[in-house]
Amino acid sequence: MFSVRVPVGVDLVEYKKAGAFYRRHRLSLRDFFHPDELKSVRVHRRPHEALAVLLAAKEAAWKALGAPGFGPSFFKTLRVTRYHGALRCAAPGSRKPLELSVTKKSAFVVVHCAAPVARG
Amino acid sequence: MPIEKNEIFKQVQTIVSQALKVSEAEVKTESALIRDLGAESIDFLDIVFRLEKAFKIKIPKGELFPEKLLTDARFSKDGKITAEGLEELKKRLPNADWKTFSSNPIVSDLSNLFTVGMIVDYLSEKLSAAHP
Repeated sequence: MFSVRVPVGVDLVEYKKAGAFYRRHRLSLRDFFHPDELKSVRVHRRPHEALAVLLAAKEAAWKALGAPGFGPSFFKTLRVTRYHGALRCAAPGSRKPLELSVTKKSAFVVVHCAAPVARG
Repeated sequence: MPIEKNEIFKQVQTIVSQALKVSEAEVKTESALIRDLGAESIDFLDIVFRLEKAFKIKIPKGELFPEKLLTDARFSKDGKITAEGLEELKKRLPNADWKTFSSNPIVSDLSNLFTVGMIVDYLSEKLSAAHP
């Protein structure tokens, strides 16, 4: 009998909040994000929406990895990339990237992350 | 000349109130950022950046909010902070209220230790070290 434990992380970020944050702090973001992630935000048609997705993706992955949702220093340890159009997140200690699913609404984005961790 | 702790609190109160869109009266020393003031991760980043600008300091990643420790298997197990983890966290957050937390060190309760007072204490020490 096999079982798979699948911790799940979910996060929601409002575009309005991400926009205010981006306008105020965009020059400070390099301390917490990978250069490729920042580039993907900068070149986006609506940078604050791309930032909202990035923030929600990292938070969802962080929660799925079993850590509580607070504090920003994990942001740089998790790296969000796009593979064949889908978002994935590489995390230290995880052999495979975590799969992310993104739901965009008019005012916010929700990201779900499932992180299979054990088989037994 | 070092800034008085009361002055640091007033500035932190303003910053937290603006970042979290709450009234300054709600921002008390004992207010927990998540439980009492509704902070999210984006707000933690916002607060760190605002503090850096206001106090003209650099806050290294993980110094003010050392949440990264929790990904270390030595420090948390089955949703609880281990004895080793508690010792490490106490070193990193000497000003947090450990008495209550230590009696039942559940990981999900850890965020309750992140209070406005803890930020004030951190800044007070950091600014004193910079301007002895």
